[in-house]
Amino acid sequence: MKQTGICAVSCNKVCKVKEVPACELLESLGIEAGSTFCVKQKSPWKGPVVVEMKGRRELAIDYSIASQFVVEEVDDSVLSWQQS
Amino acid sequence: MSYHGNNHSGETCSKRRVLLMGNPNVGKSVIFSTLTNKRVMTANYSGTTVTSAQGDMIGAKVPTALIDVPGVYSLKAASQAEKAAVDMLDSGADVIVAVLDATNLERNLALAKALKKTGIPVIFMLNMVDVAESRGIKIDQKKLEELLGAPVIKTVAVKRKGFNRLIVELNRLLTANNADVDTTADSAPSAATIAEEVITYTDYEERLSDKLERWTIKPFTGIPIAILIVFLCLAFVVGMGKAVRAALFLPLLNQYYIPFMERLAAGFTAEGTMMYAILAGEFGVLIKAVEWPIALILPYVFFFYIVLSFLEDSGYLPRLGIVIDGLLRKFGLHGHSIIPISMGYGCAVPAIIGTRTASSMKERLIVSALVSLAVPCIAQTGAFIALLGDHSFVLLLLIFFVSFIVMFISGSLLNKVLKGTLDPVLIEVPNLLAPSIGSLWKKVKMRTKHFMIEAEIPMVIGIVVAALTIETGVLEYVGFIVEPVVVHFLGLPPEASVALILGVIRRELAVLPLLGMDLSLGQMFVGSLVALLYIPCMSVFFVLIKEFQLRWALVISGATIVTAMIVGGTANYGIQILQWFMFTLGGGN
Ligand SMILES: Nc1nc2c(ncn2[C@@H]2O[C@H](COP(=O)(O)OP(=O)(O)OP(=O)(O)O)[C@@H](O)[C@H]2O)c(=O)[nH]1
Ligand SMILES: [Mg+2]
Repeated sequence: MKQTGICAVSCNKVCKVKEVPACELLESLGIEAGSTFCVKQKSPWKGPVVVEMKGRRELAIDYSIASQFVVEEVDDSVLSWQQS
Repeated sequence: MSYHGNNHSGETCSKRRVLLMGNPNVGKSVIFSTLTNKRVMTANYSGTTVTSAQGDMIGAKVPTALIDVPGVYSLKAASQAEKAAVDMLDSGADVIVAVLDATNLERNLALAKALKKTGIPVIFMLNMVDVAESRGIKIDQKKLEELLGAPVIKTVAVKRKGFNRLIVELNRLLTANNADVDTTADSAPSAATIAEEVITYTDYEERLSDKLERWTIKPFTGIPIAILIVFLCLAFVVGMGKAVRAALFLPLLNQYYIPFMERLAAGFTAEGTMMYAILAGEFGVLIKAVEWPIALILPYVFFFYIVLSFLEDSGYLPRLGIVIDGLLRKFGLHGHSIIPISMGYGCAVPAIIGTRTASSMKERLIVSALVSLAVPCIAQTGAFIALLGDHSFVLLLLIFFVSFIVMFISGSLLNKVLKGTLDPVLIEVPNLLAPSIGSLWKKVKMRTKHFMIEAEIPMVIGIVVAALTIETGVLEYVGFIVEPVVVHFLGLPPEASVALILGVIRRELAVLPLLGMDLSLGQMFVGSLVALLYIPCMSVFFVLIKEFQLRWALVISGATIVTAMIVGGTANYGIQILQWFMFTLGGGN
């Protein structure tokens, strides 16, 4: 599947992380290569990208970090935590 | 390395140490308050607690100190808060109470395992189960206990549910011989595996709160919501404050208190003497020391803190931060700087301390400078309402408008001038929660009480200084400074310099003396502007020294005086030119 940055993923699409930017906090927050999340919101003027992680929890990621991710879009059906 | 409590050095000796640890925003401080009866600040966003607090645990069989540690995501000592937490662990503990957020268990488990690994006995509190259940998240507590190899207690901290069992377990561990306690280094499976095993997500109906959560972070709906909320808050504080003043405080004051004090003062000395003036004259301490802080300011303080605490506990503020992030970046700030700035509308001191969570020194300085310069604290806002609100609501709004403009300009300037870049941030978006009335009330009570304690003594000192300056005619001796600046440049009467002197002590004291001076609307406006931008106050000055050293405190304070004078003078000349135009146009036809 096609690999892109998060900023190119459209809202409500689920993606799987391929490469994580070097940022200590990301790891502590449980985002590592292989984790999946759903892009919920992209703000204008290079504002933060809000993603929903497993556990129905949202995280606002700074645009500059978000743009360094490499992700691939996946089929929504993989998500166990979202209601249909 | 052993973290065992029994080895720790003698100074804290007999008392046992229990550390309250966990991820940010999981309810540690609520639990701390409940277990120690000590009030600490709580709010529904990460980083409320920036320095640890200690208190004696109630219900412990042996003397035990409970320590509220700032929330962390890991023990890697990457951030300042994490370093503090690791230091806490290094200095020894007998038991760790690890608080887990049931709505976000998987992420919490990473830290849970790291804490278990320290070898110190751990008790897990699975908090916020009420929220988790309402979102269709079920957690198998028995299985979690098994997998983590430690007691897991389901709690709802704000409703005091689950504390009995916690105290029992804690006492068991504290009185137990350490050999009996299972501290076996973990063989627990990975966080993801544990989460898989114990959590079940059931389908649930999307409710209004879920819709609100979505709407508040989408710019399209978020910006109108933000404007609506700011408007509602303003209306609530001003409306309720005015109503309470008019219905309760002013009648009491004018009909009972003032006549009583005047008679009392007249009993001491004859009317017309200096003593009488100081006690009950224009700046009579017996009267103003009650009228100003209580009848004029307190109602606004009280209602403002209801609003602020509500916003904090609802989890709305970080969402607002996301929506206006792009805008605030133009000042060199992150969206989440909106949290200390909103706190600044209450009092600049906690706002400046709260900037400790900011990711860079530059950001801390900009927020602190803006709050010191252009954000009026609620006491000063109350004074503005008292001064301008009765005459012209438009002027009152104009003051706030100028405050925004000044923030915008000085923020952009600072952003250009100060070195350094913004570190990128990650913010966990908190759940939108209906604030619990109990904890809301506690916060409002704590803050209002704090205001009364903080305000009263400086207020009395200020009033005595004012009475003395006016009554003794000292002003005439310093006339050579007062005349050119206050009278010519700012267009205010010479007595107004009293306000400028007192403004150093407290922000509202730069406004209140203007009340009795029979000023024109233009003069009120200029006086308010100068007061708004002028030196913050003594307490802020000391906090600035503490947080940024004397140099920055002096720079910031100096800059505020200069800005105040420039803006005040400009406004004065602007008004005069406007009046001249109106006069000549009016006279010309
Ligand atoms: N509904 C519900 N709300 C809770 C519960 N426990 C805590 N809260 C709320 O959650 C928010 C966070 O609580 P705090 O005690 O400030 O969290 P903390 O862990 O000290 O956070 P930091 O100091 O930032 O690390 C507050 O608004 C509490 O009122 C709970 O069991 N149920
Ligand atoms: Mg706390």
